[in-house]
Parts: sequence; C-alpha cells; structure tokens
Amino acid sequence: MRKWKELFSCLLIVALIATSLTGCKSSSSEKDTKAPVSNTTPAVIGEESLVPSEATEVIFWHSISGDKEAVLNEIVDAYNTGPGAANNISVKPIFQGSYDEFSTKLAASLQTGDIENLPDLVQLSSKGIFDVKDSKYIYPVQSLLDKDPEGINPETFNAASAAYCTYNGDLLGVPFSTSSIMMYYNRDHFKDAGLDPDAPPTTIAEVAKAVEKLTIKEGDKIVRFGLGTKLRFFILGTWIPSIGNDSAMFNNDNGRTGTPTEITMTKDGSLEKTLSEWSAVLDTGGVEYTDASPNESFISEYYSMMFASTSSMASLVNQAKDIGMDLGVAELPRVDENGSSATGIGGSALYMFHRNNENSILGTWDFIKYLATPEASAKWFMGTGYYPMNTDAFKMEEVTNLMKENPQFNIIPTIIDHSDGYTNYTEPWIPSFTDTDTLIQNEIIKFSDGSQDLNTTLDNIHKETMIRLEDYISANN
Amino acid sequence: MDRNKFEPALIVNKKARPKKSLIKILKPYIFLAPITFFVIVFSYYPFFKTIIFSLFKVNVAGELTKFVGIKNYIDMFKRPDFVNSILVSLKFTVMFVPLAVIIPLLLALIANKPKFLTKFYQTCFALPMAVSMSATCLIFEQLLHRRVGLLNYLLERSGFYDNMTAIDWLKNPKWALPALVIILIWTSIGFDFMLLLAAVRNVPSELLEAASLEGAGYWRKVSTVVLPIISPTLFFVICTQMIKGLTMAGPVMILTKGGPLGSTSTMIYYVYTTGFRSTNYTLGSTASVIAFLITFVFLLFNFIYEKRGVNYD
Amino acid sequence: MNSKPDHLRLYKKFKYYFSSVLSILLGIVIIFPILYAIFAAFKDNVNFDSYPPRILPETFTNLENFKYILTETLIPRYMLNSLIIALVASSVRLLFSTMASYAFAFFEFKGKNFLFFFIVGTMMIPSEALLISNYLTVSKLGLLNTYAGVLCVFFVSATQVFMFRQSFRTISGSLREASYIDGCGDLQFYAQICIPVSKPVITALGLSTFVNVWNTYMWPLLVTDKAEMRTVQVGITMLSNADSAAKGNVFAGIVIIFIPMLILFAISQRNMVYGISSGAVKG
Repeated sequence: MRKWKELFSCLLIVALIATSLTGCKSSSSEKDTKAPVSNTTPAVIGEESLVPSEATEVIFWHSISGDKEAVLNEIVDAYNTGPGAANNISVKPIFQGSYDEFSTKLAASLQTGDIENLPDLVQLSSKGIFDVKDSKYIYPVQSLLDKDPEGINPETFNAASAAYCTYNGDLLGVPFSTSSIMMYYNRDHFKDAGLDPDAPPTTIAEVAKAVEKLTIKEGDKIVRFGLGTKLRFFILGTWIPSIGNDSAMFNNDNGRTGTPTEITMTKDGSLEKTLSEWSAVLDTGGVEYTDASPNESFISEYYSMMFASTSSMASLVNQAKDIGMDLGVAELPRVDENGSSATGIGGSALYMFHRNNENSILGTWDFIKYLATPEASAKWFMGTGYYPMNTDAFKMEEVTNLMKENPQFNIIPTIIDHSDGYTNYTEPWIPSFTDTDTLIQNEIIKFSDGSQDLNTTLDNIHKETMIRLEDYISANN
Repeated sequence: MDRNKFEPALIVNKKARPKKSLIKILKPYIFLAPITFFVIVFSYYPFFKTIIFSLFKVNVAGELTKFVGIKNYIDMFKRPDFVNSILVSLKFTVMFVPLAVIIPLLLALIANKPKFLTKFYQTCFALPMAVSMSATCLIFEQLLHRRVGLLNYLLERSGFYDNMTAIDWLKNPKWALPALVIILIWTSIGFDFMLLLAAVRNVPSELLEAASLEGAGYWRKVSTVVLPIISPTLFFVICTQMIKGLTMAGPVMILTKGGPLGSTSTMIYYVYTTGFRSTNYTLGSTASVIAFLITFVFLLFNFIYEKRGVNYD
Repeated sequence: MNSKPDHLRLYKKFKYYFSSVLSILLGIVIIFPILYAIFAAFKDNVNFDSYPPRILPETFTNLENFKYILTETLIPRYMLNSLIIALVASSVRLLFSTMASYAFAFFEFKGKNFLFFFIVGTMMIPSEALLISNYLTVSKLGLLNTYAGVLCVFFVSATQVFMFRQSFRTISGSLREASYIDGCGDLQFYAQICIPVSKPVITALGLSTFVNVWNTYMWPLLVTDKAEMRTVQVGITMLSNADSAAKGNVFAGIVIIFIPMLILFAISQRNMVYGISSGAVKG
C-alpha cells in the first residue's frame, strides 16, 4: 500500500513539474510571437542592394515529383550556372514528399521558431498555406515587388493565378505552379460511340449524355467507364462561383481577406444546384466517382473522359503519343448553360521565408525574378502544363511551335482568356483544409452511391465543416 | 545483516567494512540515472503534457488558451469521425489478433517436427520479419493493384469477377481494412513464429510421449499438453499483437491515408491528422489520451485472463 | 507377417515426404511477396503497366534499376542513416537497461521498488500517444534533423529492464559478495560477469531492437525533413511517391534495403531462438 502511495505522490510531483514547464514554455513562445529577434527589419531589405553581398545558398522545398521534377531541376540548373553564378547564388531544391506531409512539419517548425530548419523558398498548396500565411516568418513577395519594380512586372501575371496567392490585398507569394482543372477525353472512344470528337460536352447535362454512350458494360460488370473523377475543392472551386452569383465557397473571400467563419456554399443553394445537376451523370451508372488520380486509368483506356489538372498536359500528351491515343482536351464543363466561362485556380504557389538573413532573401528574390522571365516560364509551361508565371511566355517562339505541334496545349491560354476578370474562383484557405476536403469528398461519395439523399449530404457537410471552423476559432482567439 | 548493530566481537572475523561512503550510496542511482532521465523526458513528461493539453483548448502555437476540463472528452465522443476511428481500430484488432496468433502458432507446430528440408521452410516462415513495413506496403500495393495486380489477375482467371467489376482493394471502403489486416499479419508472422517455435520446442518430450501412450491423437496432444505449457509465450504474443492492432497507423499513412470513406482511419492515424496535420492540438491530445485508455483497458483484461488461463510452471 | 510393417512404413514415408512438400510450398507462398519484389527489381519500368501481369522479369541481367538507386538516389545515404540510428539505439538501450537492471538486482537502496515500477510502468504508455509532445520537445531542443533527435526516444525499454533483472537475478548473490571481497568493483563485475552470462538474452533483445528501430516509420518521418537525414523507410516511400510510374526503381530499392537485413537475419537466427527461449519469455 505504501509503495502505491509513494508512486502516486511522485507521479503528482512529475505532473506538477510538467505543468509548470508547459507554463514556462507558453510564456516563452509568447515572447517569440511578439518580438521578432532579427537583425534586419523586413522593411529595410532591398533598400541598398537587390543582390546578396556574399555567396548565398537558397533552400527550396517543393512537392514536384516524377517527370515534372526533372523539368524543375533543369530550370534550377540553368539558373545556378547562369544568372545565379553571376550573383553568387545557388539554389538547392529538395523534394519533401506530398503536400500533406511536409506542410505539417513546416507548420510545426514555424511554431517553434526553428529558423535553422526552415527553407528560404517553399512551394505550398491550399493544404499548407493556412497555418503559414500569418506567421511572422513569411515574407510577402509584395515587399520586394515594391522595392524592385524593374524586377517583375505584375501585369504579366495571369490575374487569376495572382489572386490565388493574394492575401489581404498584398501578393503573398508568386504563382509558380498554379493550374486549373480541365477535361481530357479519348477521341477514338468518342468516334466509336457515335459522338463528335470535336464537340465535347460543355455542361454537366451533356456530360451525362456522353457518359451514357461511352460506358461499356458486360452484364453487371463495367468494362469501361465513361468518366472518371472525384468531386473535391479543386473542382467545386470552379463550379460553385460559376453559378450566377459569383460567391465563394466560404466567407471572407475564401480566406483571402481573413479566416473564414462560415461555409456558404451549403446554404446559398450553389452546392445544391451543382449536386442536382451531377445526379444526371450519376444516374447513368457509368461514372467512376471515387478516383482523384484518374490519369493512369485514362491512359489505359479504362475511362473515356476524365477531369484532371492542366499540369498533367505535357505528360499526357507524351503518353498519348506513345500509345497512339488521339487525345482530346476541353475546358471543364459548366454546371449549366448559364454558368460563367471561368475556370478556377488551384495548385500551389511559392512563398518566401525570412530567416534573419538579408542575403538569403535577396538570393531568393533573384531566383524568383529568373522564374518570372518569359524563358523560364515558357520552359516550365512546356514541360508540365502549369500556367506560366509570365504570360508573355505565350508569345515566345518555342511555345508557339510547341502549341502548333501539340494543339492540345492551346486549351490552356483559352482557359486563361475565358477566366479573365474572374478572380474569386480559388481553392479556399481554411484551417484543417485536408480534413474538410476529405469530409466533403466522402459525403459526396455517399450521395453518389445512393446511400444518402441530397439534403442529408448538404446538412452533414455544413455541420462537419462548421465544427472544424469553430475548433480553430475557439482555440485561437 | 543488521548494519546498525555494532558487534566488536565480530570485527576480527568480518572483513573490515568501511563506512558507506558517499559514492557507495550514490552508486545505484548513478546506474539508474541515464535511463531515468530519458524515462522522464520522453515518456512521463510528454504523457502528462498530453493529458494536461487535453483538458484545455490549445492554439496552433501550442499554447494553452482556455481551461475546459472534461468538456473536450465529451465533445470528442460527439464527433462522428472520432467515434469512427475507435470503431475502425476495434474492427481491425478483432480481425487481426486471432489470425495473428493462430497463423504463427500453426507455422510453429508445422516447423517443429523435423522433416525434409526443415531448415528451408523454417527460414521462409521467419523471413517476413526481415522486410521492413514500408517495403511490405509498397509490395502489396503492387500486388493489390486493380488492373495489373496479381491478385486480381488470378481472381479474373478463376472466374471470380465474371459478373462484377474488378475490386480496387485498397480503394474500396469494404475491403481496404481487411487488406491492411493481411498486410500487417504478413509483417508480424516472422517474429512471433520464432517465439512460438522456441516455446513449442521447449515442451518436454516425455510429456508428449506419455500422452501418446495414453492414446491421444495429434490435436489432443496439442490442446492438452502443448498449449498449456506454451501459454506464457502465447499470452505474450496475444498482448503484443493486441497492442499492435490497436495502435496501427503506419500502413494507413503509406497506403490509404485514412480512406476510403474513413474506413481505415484508426485511432492513432486520427491523432496524426488532427494533432499534426491540422495542428489541432486540442483534438490530438484528447484523442491520444483516449487511445491510451482504450489500449490500457484491453491490456487489463488480458492480465485478468492471465491469472486464470496461463500457468507458469 | 512382413506386409503389415511394410505398408505402414511406406505410408509413413509417404506422409513424411508429402507433409514436407506441403510445408515447403507453404514456405514459398509466405515468402512470395519477397520473391515478387526481387523479380520486379529486374523489370523495366515499362513492364509494370502490362496486362496480363507477369511475375518473372524478361531477363535477370537488367541492372539498370539497381544502378539508378545506387547512383542517382540517396538510398545509400538513407541506409547509412538507418544503420547508425538502429545501431546506436540498440546499443544505448542495452547499456541503459543492463545498468538499471544491475542496480535492481544487486543493490539495496531507498526507493528501489518505486523506481522499478516507475521505469517498468512506461510499458503501458504507447509511444504513439506521445508523438506530438515528443516532436515539440525535440523541436524546442533544436534537435530536428539530427541523429540525436531521432535517437532520443529509443533509449528506454521497460521490457528490457524487466527481462534483464530476471536474468541477473539468476546470478547468485553470493558470487557477487565473493567477488566484491576479492576487490572486484561493480563496474568490473557488471562487465566481466553479468554481461557475458546474459549474452543470449542480450543478442536476442539487441537484434530485436535493431530490427524494430530499422523499421520505424512515423517518428523519423516527423523529425527529419532534410533529404540527407532521412531514414531508409521514409526514403523508400518518398521514392515511390516521387515517381509513381518508375516502379522498377522502387523494387530495386526494396531489394537493396532488404539485403543487410537478410544478412543480419541469417547470422542471428540461431542466436535469436536460443536467446528467446533461454531468458525472454519464461513467466
């Protein structure tokens, strides 16, 4: 009995120590968040010189993988041996795994003020930007744009992409790897099914009709799906605002003017309309609605159509050539004939961190300027399909040649054209982005397989999303 | 030995014992110091910190903002995704533990009798232990692929898919969790096989012979002689497999990411997504404590059963 | 008179070979995923898309994937990291556990029982529940992306302390008294008698720790983001994520990682069985 008493009293002591330590730590981290310990105040950077005063290494974290990584490395090499060498700057790109994995660690590093382990330049998608955008370590690109007006002309940015990374009116990052969702289809399948390959569906209702014709069944077994996709923020980001009222999915401009406190698409009828139209496609029984990466199955001709990113353009064009597929491209179909012509922006952008070292920031800025040149932008666009940061790239000779040889690429400037002026079509910046995206996807899937009706789906989405928003607000105010 | 009594008469016989010097008194503590330090810093401190966090609202900077006490726990159980994660972990454990104990046991019994090329298949049975969990996940991901995976190919050829669309095992809400069960079983048979083999080999042969003489068949012998004698090892295996099942999260991170439709979102994976990915330390800490309590309760049941079922000779 | 035993003998022989063959087949089924990985490592990246899927590669002489892994990726560096971490973790863990168990087996001191329960009580705390807190601790100590940061959580094992205490207790107390009288200090006794006597248990537990630490995924994933510091588990998964089309490379990586574990396994198999049976799980 005595031994348990001893044990208990010692555990109590440990617990008290733990509490006091936690208390100490919170007060010290509070200190951190209040007074930045830096030897160069951000306002001063770029006043004297726009290039670093000594040899600088720029650490660049990204999630670009596969073929696209090779293109990125080529661009970095070209910089390191060219303008970088001239200014004694060397960029070191590091692949950090999926957006999910490393944005988690990044947030934790920022929180503990672990400057040593932060990168200078980081590629972040909507999944990771929320926790980072208010951090004192993030260095808005706007600051350097203002200091160095010759460096980059913001007019050359694709306006919608620029809106994607604008926060509270200032350009927070540069739209390096932004993309849109679009539709790819197999023209041979269209011909076989009696559809006109030059007239792909332009509304969801037309998609339903096409899916009906394109799906091949053997009894109960589906041998070929008409369409493969998965509804999620990337796609809803286009459909929701396009329904006439131009409203975003969440309030506070999808997070661009403050933390959203409410999900609006469930109550203002936009999601309801979208899903009602989508029912027509579901009713055909020929849509595979759970596949968020349909590229592989599309290439193996398991799907006749798919919704995928513009950033897959280069790799799809090459693969289609390899297997002799006649690849068709089109803009994402509208919700209905009254929908606007714009397509939303998703993907990711590049953001800078302030690591108490003016040279690092200047080095990073120099690299960003290189990425914003028409040449580098063109190379990136041609090798992937991501929007070129500098739209002048479209005027370059190599690009026009590429687009002549591979006419599929032409859809991309078309999408930009049609989206001109619509800047509200973005993925939302919300806390728990992945969780919310996943729950919305799951609810829509449950709606799609018939296990719950539309109203329940909307209610669930609203309730669950609000819980997550409230979690954040109640703990962070 | 009574150190307090001073017996002058015995001093001549006893080797002169010097008074306990400071070093002597400190010695045991010196031996224990390193491990105790790490135990406190990396086991108890984070544990209590987590418990304390779970009683507060914690912001994204890791600071306590508001004391709410038990409310966090009550709210947790109102969240369908958390309750789902508990159910998933339980479902997984129920599927996993029986197979994870019986399969190595059968393998041990098979490998016990020396036969032709025993060494070969004994090594085969234990070999999965040498393959790391990540590698296993990647290999099975390929084998379970919808189109080019061997499993589906064999099923297609055997006519299993005649009237239905091929199953995408890891992306199917019904089959993703069983698929993970198979994967985790495969990784763990190696080590437990060796444990049980050693235990089975230690069964004294006289007992087995005596049972044979009394006319007991093979399975009779196993149930009446072998099982009781290896029960301590069996108990150990059941306990460890139960903990492994309840805390499974690695394969989920690598293969299914909690999907499809949350069917593989286990308790610990939930801790990862809330506490880490969404930096919601409030939820993460509360979930951690609940996960610990559930595991603890299971272990407790095990130990209660141990008193009755396991015999230590 | 002879036919009956003959029959029986033939039947017994048949049973013997038949069950042997079944067992061998079972063995092959169990190691099939490993064989598949080995064959796949020789395949061209393109072959993975083919339907119907093939098991055997076209040729066993295609070493492109292995060359790629060894020269173009950091897998060798990842293996070095994992090796260092697993080696140091298992050695230090053994050191700490044996030292602690020595104190518990041979000393009498205040708080002995309390400390024993204190340390062994950690058995009940699942390490996964501590991930977040430990991550924050390591981060605040500035140990992210260091070997120390990854290692520090592996140094304690309640089960080892428990088992070594049992093992040391079998060393008779009077032996220690005698050697003490002979002038043998504690450290000497520890190093020259206790450790050698417990060698089987040490080998078994050391190897089991080594394998477990080599296999850990979540903790190293959280603590390292610099490419050079990653362990092999994290590295190989990232390789698979990085290029979902280049599967041949991933399998070559899997095989390369597998080789040292296979060697370790071969060396230690006998020791493990002996060590486990002699000390580890007797009640």
